[in-house]
Amino acid sequence: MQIMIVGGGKVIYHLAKNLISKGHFVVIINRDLEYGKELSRDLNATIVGGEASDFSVMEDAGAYKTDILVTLTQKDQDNLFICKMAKKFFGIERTVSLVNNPDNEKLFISLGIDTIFNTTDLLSTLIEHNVAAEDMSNLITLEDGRLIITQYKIPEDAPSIGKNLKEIDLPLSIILGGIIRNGDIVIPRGGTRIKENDKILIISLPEEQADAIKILGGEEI
Amino acid sequence: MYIVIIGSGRTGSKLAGVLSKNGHEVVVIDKDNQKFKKLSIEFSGFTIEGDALEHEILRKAKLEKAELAVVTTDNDKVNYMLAQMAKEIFDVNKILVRVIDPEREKMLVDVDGIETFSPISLLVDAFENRIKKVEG
Repeated sequence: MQIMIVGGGKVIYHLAKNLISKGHFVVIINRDLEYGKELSRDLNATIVGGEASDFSVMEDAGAYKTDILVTLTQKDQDNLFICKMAKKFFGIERTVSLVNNPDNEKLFISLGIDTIFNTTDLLSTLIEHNVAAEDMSNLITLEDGRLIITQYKIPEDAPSIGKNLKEIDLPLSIILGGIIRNGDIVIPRGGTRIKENDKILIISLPEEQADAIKILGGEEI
Repeated sequence: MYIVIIGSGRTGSKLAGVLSKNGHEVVVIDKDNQKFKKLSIEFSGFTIEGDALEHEILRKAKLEKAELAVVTTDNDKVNYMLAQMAKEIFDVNKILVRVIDPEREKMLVDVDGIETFSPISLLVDAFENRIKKVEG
């Protein structure tokens, strides 16, 4: 796929490298010409220097052939403008944007930006939940934090150790997505027995996350 | 009519004075309070100092109650976003937007409730009409 990335500071280098290694064709538009030169030496990508909100710059960067646009600038107004321009005039089907100010999420969604992520919310959820239990890490929140994917490491004194999953009384709305045991993936089924140090992926509503952890690990958070 | 003007530059401040004089209830927002010095003595409305991109500032200006919003900051992308915010989040029925780069005018041209004005396009039109008259 052809992917266009706008802005993003040092993150772009790693993001672009990752996407290129998966076989995507990456175009980067950056205002900072010096940084652009640096990127072009290190990356097998097309680097375009200029202001992405200019129609001619977008066109030169191959906007008509682009499948996905990712905007990562620090300014929400730039991200919004560029995404809307991409959709309206260049027919780019998927737009992914960083939203810096959480208040702007609703606007981005109502104007049809396909995927948004909001670092402020993401970080605050991570911080809030991580200080609560050290064996737990929130991997992803979806739909403004309404669904949460957590990885939880079963502590040695957990009440669930040795039990079958079907013996454990988890609310039906909590789904166990997988168990990582000594680096192997175990797909959880009713007969799967929980062992110490298992890392369990829990898919739940944020308010039920604490229940899941209490039932599996006996910990109050 | 209750009107919110965002951007108190030469255009915004002058317009605020005129509308206020004509009896409208006008609120002007600008992030630089020095800009309010440009408001004429005829202006009898309120001023709010703050970044209009912060929703809190727009709520403070009671944008949701405005019958008309005029967006005249000096940045097209800011203006675009403010116009869309006024329409989508604050439900303002009529929004007038100043566009600096005429090329960017087409971004808002077919959006219901939003009208764009580009000083350059207006000037070119005026010149063109004047020249047509000269040609007779």
